[in-house]
Amino acid sequence: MSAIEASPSVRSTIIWRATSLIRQRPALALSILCLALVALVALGAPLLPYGPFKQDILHRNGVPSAFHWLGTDELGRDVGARLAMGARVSLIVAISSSLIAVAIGVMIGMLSGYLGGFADTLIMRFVDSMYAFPETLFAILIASLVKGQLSGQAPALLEPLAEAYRWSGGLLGVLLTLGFTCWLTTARLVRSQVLALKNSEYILASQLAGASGWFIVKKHLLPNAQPVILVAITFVVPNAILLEAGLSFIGIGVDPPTPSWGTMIAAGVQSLQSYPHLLIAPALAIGATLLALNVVGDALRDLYDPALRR
Amino acid sequence: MLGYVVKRTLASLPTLFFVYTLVFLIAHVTPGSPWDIGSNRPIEPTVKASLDARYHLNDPLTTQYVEYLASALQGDLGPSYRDRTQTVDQIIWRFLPVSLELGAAAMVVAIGFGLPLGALAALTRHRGVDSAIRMLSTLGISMPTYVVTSILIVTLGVSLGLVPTFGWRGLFSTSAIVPVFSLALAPLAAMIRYFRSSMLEVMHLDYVRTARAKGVRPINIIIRHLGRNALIPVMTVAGVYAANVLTGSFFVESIAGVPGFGRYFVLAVAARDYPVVIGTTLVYALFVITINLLVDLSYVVLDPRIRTSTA
Amino acid sequence: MHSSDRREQQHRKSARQRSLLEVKNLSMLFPARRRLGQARAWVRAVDGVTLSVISGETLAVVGESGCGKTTLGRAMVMLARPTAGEVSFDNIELTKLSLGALRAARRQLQMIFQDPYGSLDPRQRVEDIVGEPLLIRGVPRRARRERVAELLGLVGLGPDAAPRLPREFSGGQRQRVGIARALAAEPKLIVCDEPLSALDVSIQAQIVALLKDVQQRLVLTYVFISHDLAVVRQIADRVAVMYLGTVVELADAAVIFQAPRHPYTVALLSAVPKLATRSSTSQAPPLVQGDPPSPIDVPRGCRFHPRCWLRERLNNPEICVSAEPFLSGGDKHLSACHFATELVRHATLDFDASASLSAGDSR
Repeated sequence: MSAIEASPSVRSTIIWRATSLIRQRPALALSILCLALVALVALGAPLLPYGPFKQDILHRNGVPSAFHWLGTDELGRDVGARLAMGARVSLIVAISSSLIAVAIGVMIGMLSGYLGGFADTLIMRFVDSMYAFPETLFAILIASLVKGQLSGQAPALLEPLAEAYRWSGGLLGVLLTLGFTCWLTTARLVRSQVLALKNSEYILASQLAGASGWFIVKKHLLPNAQPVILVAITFVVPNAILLEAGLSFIGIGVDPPTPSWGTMIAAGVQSLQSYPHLLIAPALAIGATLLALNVVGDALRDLYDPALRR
Repeated sequence: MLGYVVKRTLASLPTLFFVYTLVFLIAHVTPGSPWDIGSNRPIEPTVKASLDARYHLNDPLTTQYVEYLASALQGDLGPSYRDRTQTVDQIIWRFLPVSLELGAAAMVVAIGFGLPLGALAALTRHRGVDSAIRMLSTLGISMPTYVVTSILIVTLGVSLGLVPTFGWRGLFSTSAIVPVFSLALAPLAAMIRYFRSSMLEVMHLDYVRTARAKGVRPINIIIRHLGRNALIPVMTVAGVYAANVLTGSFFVESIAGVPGFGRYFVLAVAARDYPVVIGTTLVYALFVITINLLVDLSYVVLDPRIRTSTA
Repeated sequence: MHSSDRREQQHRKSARQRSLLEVKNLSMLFPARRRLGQARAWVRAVDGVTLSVISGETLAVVGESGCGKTTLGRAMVMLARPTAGEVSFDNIELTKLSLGALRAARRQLQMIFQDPYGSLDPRQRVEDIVGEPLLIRGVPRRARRERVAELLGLVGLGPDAAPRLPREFSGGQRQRVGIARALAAEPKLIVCDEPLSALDVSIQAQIVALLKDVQQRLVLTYVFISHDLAVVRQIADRVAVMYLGTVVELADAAVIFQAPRHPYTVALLSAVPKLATRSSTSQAPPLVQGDPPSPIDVPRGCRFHPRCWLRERLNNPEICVSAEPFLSGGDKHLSACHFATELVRHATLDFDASASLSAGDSR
């Protein structure tokens, strides 16, 4: 009987690789800090001295001062506070889009990949058709549809939804729109992964042992698809934030007076000639956040697939 | 190979149908009547009735669906509801070329600068150059287009007065600089990244090292061996962005005042101008599908392996 | 068909022992990739195989890569649905069962896979891998844990292997885990699909010993698929030789290594230096000529005829091209060759049946 000559448990490989990656790339460390800051600000928004909705017409369009560190907007509201609330909106968008992408995208990808055959072809045709629809265009259509139904006079059936919509300041509309758009990439990626894994011998062994399809998906496919799902999320989140800002920019995202970085940018663009400071704050905020997200996303992708690395 | 082309083209038809159905449903499910927009008083019932009758808005949805499709196939995309003096075709023909110009210019800039920069980043031994280029490209992908446009207008237009801050005077005027560049930024960044990583992958393959060992001059290696293979992933990315860019970005057009397709679309959606919305969407979808088809066909040219296998 | 009836009769006559698994006219055809415009072609991976596996024996299936033996193995355990033919286990026709019924019945047939690196889920701990068949059966956690420890002990791994991940183990150890997993389902028959091919030579001997040990202890039946005749010599009771999707020879192991009756078998054996010694006439050993043909384009008549040394020796008799030979020749030693009886005269090698290949022999 041979003794076990197993190497010391290297369960912490991922953690080790992550920390060494952070040490190697200063940009990555900076990005993580930046994102942590954004999250912190978003969560701490209610604690700021000036509420985002408090108007002070006498002091509107004020440049940054001791009272208002980032100045005031066209209605005298504190830009800093609005920026923080906007961070909140973006955070909610980031989390929701990840959840949606995982819930819907993974389910569809798994179904399509594992079932194969006709079901797969059907689902894939559907996904391909959705891809043909330019995403922004589709989002605009859905967003305006949702707004049309839920704001103002809503049909009786949708009344509870409309209540929620109003309470969220229009954010629900954005989330619903995201629900239609952000699962596509995830579904595709998960499906490819499942197709690759489907014929692995350990899956065959499970089948031989009498496992049902559901069992195999839960115990084998999902855990082994985790890296891919993470990669998909790194694409989904920045895209979703961008989309929300874009929709709010053209006016079909959140409802005023809810602050979103998109609406603030739109307002900033309006007063570009006279008060440029109104544009700079939200533009920098969203730019920095997206940059940080992309850097972190790159690092995560590198972490899970060393083949992609240099 | 002709068979493959035909097959792929035919496969796109169901997609087009799907898009049409979807946009038709969405457009008509949106509540409210197209005649309410733009006025402070609700429209008079008799006027509304006659307008509805004239535009067949009282017909069952299925009838409208078929009718519109039939006339669309003959080239008639219907009248605009918002501006009843124009038909959708007229609107498309007036605004589409501008967007196409803008988009094409942006793609040219993106590819023209992106490929060399990507190659440079891949081939250079100097870590600094590589890092700098990579940083720039990450930056480029991260900034929302409209932010870039705004900033450029503020700096170049307002402060320095180099470019007009609004309006479009043709592709080769200063008014084109800001829109083209802001539109080109994202695909440019993407090109750099993907071409760079693609080249890096190919660079290490055995046959390239063999060529190097044989003493083939670097420039020849680049063009003949690396170029072809590294281009394949690039075509994918190009396709993805081209579809977006060629139809003009809504945001860029709105901010910079480019009278293009995108801007009109946003207005039409707000106005519930169904024919414009549907017609525009169909044209967009047609573009995307065509571009995807072209990208697929380019694979066949670039990768001989695909040519000999079955579709 | 007349000859297959005869075959069946012979099988039944000789089956004094119970046949556990029966395969009748099994075929596995796959659609072939074709260029645009060509007629639909099929890959004939397994083409009309009839076999029975006797309870308690080890039946080896040997052949070159691509002869269909792995596909046959998978069809036997119904991991792939046969295109034609039937598979019966314990007198139950598996091919007629619905998916649900199959899932309930299939525990008794298990498989050990070739690739120790791909056959274990890299994200599962050993105790979960081995315990999975038990979990599926509904065995409660504590009983599961005990049984897993037992099984690990049985295959030569200690209990501290249980909480570890596959990547912490060597190839040989992973195969042991695979064996433990197969045993967890308490099968009656195990198909071993080239279990040694990916292992180092010294480890191979250990695993073979383990397999034999386990077989004896638990009264198992094996179908042992391999391309390595030297290993087969150690473990098999009967041997089936496959070529291009069909069985060309079937006999007891001792007989087949001493006096093969198919030119392909002769060629296979002559390629293994350990098994063949040069005869005094020192003629060149018969080698298989040419490239292995593809299973899409099966040669007419006898499948082996384009590469058959015997056919050449006999001046290319017509029958080799015109008629396909079927397995025939008495109840114990079947061969699919028109000239099986002439073979003895033309073989120039003595096969050393007493050559022993115990563990530790260098190669």
